[in-house]
Amino acid sequence: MHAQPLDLTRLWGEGWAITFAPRTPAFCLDAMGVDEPAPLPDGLAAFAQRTPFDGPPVLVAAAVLDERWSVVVESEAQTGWVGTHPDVLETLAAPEAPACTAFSDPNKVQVVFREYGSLVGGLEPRTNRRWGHFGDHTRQSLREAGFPDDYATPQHPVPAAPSEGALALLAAQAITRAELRAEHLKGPWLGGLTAKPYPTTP
Amino acid sequence: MHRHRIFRISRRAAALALGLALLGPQYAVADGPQREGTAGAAPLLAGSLKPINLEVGISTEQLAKLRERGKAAERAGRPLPKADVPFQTESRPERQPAAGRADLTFTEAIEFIEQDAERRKTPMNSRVDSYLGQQRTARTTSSTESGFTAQATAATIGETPSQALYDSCMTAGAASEAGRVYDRFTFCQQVPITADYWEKDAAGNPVDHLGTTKATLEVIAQGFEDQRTMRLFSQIKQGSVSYDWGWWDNIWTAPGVPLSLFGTCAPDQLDCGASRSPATLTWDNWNNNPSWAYWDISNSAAAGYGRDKLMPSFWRVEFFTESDEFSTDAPGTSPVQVVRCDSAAYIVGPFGADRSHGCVFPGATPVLTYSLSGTEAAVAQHILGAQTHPEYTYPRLPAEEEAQRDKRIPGQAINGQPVHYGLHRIHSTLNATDYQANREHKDGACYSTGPQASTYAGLGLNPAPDTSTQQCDEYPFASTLEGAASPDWDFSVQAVPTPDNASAGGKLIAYYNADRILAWDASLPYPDGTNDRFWVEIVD
Repeated sequence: MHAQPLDLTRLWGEGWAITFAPRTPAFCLDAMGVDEPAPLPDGLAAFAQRTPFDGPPVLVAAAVLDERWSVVVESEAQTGWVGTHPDVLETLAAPEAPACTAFSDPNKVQVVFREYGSLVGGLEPRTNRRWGHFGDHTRQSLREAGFPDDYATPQHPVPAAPSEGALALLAAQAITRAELRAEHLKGPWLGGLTAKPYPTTP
Repeated sequence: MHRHRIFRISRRAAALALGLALLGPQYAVADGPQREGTAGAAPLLAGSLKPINLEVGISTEQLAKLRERGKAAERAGRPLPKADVPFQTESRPERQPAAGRADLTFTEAIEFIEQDAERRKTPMNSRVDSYLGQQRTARTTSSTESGFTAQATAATIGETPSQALYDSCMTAGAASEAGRVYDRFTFCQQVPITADYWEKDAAGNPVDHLGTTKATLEVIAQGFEDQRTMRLFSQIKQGSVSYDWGWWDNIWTAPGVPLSLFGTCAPDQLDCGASRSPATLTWDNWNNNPSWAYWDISNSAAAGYGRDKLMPSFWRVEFFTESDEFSTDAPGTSPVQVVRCDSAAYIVGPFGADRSHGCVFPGATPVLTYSLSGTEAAVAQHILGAQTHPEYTYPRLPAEEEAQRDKRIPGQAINGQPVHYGLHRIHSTLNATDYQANREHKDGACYSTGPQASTYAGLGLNPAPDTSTQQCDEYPFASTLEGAASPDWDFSVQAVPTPDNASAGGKLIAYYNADRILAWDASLPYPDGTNDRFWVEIVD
């Protein structure tokens, strides 16, 4: 039984991305194109000082979840979410520990991930439409979290959640087996600006 | 179930709502007499906007004092003294309410807003564009931006409007009856005003027309993004004052007469509050050293309508001269304008920034702009094709239907003006049923999957997007009531490169938040007119 995930749509609205990676915060930010990461004295409040159309470059921030996992958050996507770039996910993934990004814009909420040495996989948590590579371990993890194997139907629905954003976080946490809790959002964060472009090859 | 409560606004605002086509707004709102057609100095403003009149009586004794003071200043070679009252205070005096009361339904208020929008010809900026414009302006004079916590200057509302905002907004369109809605949070207007001064005898009867003073009243209003309040600024435009009192009085009497400006709710309107006192200077001070006065116009969520507690407030600037020695027979008022406040809890700023209350100027056309040369180019190309040649888009209509009609896809704007039916935002959680239905139709038309797959068998996108490099783009957006599942409209799907779709989604977030586009609320009275609409324009 999985604990109810945070509802990031309620907390942050319809525009956000969150990446789970088995790497340190500094490594994550470097992979995402941040040249000069620095501690954010006010934590995630740094985002509130910006408008959603400030970027690029955009602000990204990373924090420690536990001894292995870090989390990276974004709120500006004028040029797309950096955490969804296939090369970023490839760099962040580690053996037996995929990198995974859940993101939301007004038109879609999706989860994309990359298992070590594999192509990108993705799903839309509300319908469970899937694409790309899903390893057996990932399929099983999602199954245990309550997701069906195929497109959701009334007979085989996705888990109940207060929003699709919460459902996306549930899926991301199932894929990575990391967990984001409210206290993580209040801890120390490392941040910086990036203008990394989307890679020209997947 | 639609509520249909009544709230009150002024009889004049009701007249605006019900008969705007017949009544010019300054006729409808001015408390004073009809304008006179006297010749005088050339109007400072181009166009058909005619002056709003103020009539003031001056007692014979006060006139004598004024002229004596003028003579003293002339002899001493000094300028006329300033008005002997504070410029503006925090306390707000009770003023005589306008005569009569009238009820206006919420629906009628919405009609006012719609008619108000129709009379505006100057396209409104998206907040994104106007913010970036101001940012560029600011950066030409300052390079104080540092690090990654640059404060959004456009969101700042101080005790005066910023010069960059003034320069950007106060262009030709502001000198019109409707004023200019610069963006959803900013309104500005220039209004020519004429003040007629009469000498009155002890019984209060006019005995002599002393002269006429003309000027330009400037108004800037800014809606807050974190409270149900609008800040209204006003001043007399520097250098705009001219006197027609006779050569000596023009120099030594008329400039010393005080004038007060007073931002206020339209009379007798419930659920509208205003702060601060009138602001008073002499005409000479207004003309040579103008200061912005400001007032906050607010309404409460408790009286609001629907899920987001919508409530319009009608407001204006009154101008008059009132003291023991002067009596304003007919105060002037700027045309009534409207601001709409809401408490939409889902409008959330980045990571908790409080934007769950706000006030916007609804009388203009919100337009989202995508560029054919931007990072969202492929999406822009798709939308342009869907808007202009829907017959070439996927999904195809069934053969028998295609023989009878073309596809109809709404939402287009050209040059900032709507040329088709507008789009209504829906929210993934608040409008979950419609949102889910859009998703299922899109999946059926794009990927031949899900419960609607059979609906689009043989009609949908072929081939489906290559999910390693592409995504399925749909127009109208999934986040609109007119999206793929709409029974009233057709839609288009197309495979686009993933980064283009991601960029378009990111810009849509910024746009919805920047222009405070509220999500569809079927519980509002007259929902088609009351709910926010927006349009999409594709530019090079």
